[in-house]
Amino acid sequence: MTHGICRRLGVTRLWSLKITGKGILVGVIGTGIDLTHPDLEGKVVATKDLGGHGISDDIGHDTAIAGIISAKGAKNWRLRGLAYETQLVIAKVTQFDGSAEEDVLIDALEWLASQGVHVINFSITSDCVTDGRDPVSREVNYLVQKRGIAVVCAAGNYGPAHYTIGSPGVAEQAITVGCVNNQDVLRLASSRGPTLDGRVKPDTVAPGERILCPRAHNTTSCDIHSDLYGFFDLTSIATPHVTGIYALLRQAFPKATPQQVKQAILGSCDPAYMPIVSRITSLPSGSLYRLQAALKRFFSRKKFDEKHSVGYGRVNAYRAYLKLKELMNVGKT
Amino acid sequence: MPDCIYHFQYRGKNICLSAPSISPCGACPRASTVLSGSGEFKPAMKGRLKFSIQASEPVLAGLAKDPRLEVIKTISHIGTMYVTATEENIVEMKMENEDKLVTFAKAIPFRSVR
Repeated sequence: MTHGICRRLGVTRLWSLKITGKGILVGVIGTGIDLTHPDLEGKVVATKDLGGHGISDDIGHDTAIAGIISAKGAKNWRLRGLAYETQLVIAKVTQFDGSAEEDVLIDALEWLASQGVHVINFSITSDCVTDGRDPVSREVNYLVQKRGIAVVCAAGNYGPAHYTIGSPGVAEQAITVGCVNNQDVLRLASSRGPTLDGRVKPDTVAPGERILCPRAHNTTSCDIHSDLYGFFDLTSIATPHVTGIYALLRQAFPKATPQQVKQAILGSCDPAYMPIVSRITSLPSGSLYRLQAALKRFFSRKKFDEKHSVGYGRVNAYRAYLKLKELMNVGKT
Repeated sequence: MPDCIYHFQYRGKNICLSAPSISPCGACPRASTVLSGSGEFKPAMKGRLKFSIQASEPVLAGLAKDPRLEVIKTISHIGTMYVTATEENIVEMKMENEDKLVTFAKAIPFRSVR
């Protein structure tokens, strides 16, 4: 997690206000964690292995995610996580190939809730698309509405087609995250909405291109930078940026509900842009008539494409802080 | 897309085990094409498979007693029960209880987003 990205997302301005995630407990569901990584040593307060192969991270996926949220920057302060004073609770749910079972995921969500986490990072998605009534999505809605725990979900990497967001990214109460590159242009692989029942998803987008993160020992699922770090990509890596920002906002406003924080995050996004190539590739070749029709479609679909691809835009932590401050003050008066 | 939908023709009726919660994928038309016309149920897979059932609490309690199903767990706050059963038994049960069930689907495979 480089300092440059933190600055771009407005996170460093929150650090200057002493908002660093202190006292916030973040749950991470995924492939386990490398507890020996210097950036994560002492960060993890509880772990549970529901995959049955031990808590160690065989794939490297969730060590990177935990690092984006909470890395201490032990070797280099410029590589610390967005909410570097948070603590972590880790639920491992995957098998060696990264797959997980539906009922195991619900068990993991329940266990994390029982540990008192404030927010859960969920960078796992279903292989097929649902309308949000599947059990995992319902459990996510239940945790947000009844237990006050936010769940931040990856949109998935099945783009550029629409209707490609799986469970639990389609859950109404989840904060669903797509990914952009370093110029805030949507990455082609980022899954797109709407949901099967027509709701806007993803909700927001965050950086997901060559993010420098802690690398679990002996894993090669990234572009290797050094023994301890690697470059990671796409929506699973974009998601913990929003989880980290949620943790910061929750520290700043402990009484805010997950819905209020979500409203603040979505209501304060910076613009994100559509890759021009995704619309050009939908243009058919052929007669002038077909080209005219395609151009008409190109412009009429622009709004639909944008709304259901980048959601409300790219997340901005400082603006979300100001927005939440405003919302909380309105609540008081 | 993976084989996530089960759509059968059984005794002249179309049965989709996951409707309406999951979108059609490649498996659905393929299964119905293979099975339609034969008029007979042909299990696509052998052995017992995991399914989720969403229904009201009394309905789930009733289904839990069905000897054809082996209950893995019940998650009452979201009205969901996970069971294992053979496809044939599941299809029969789906037909018997169609009106009472909210959804009845094969457990969806998940994976880490890479």
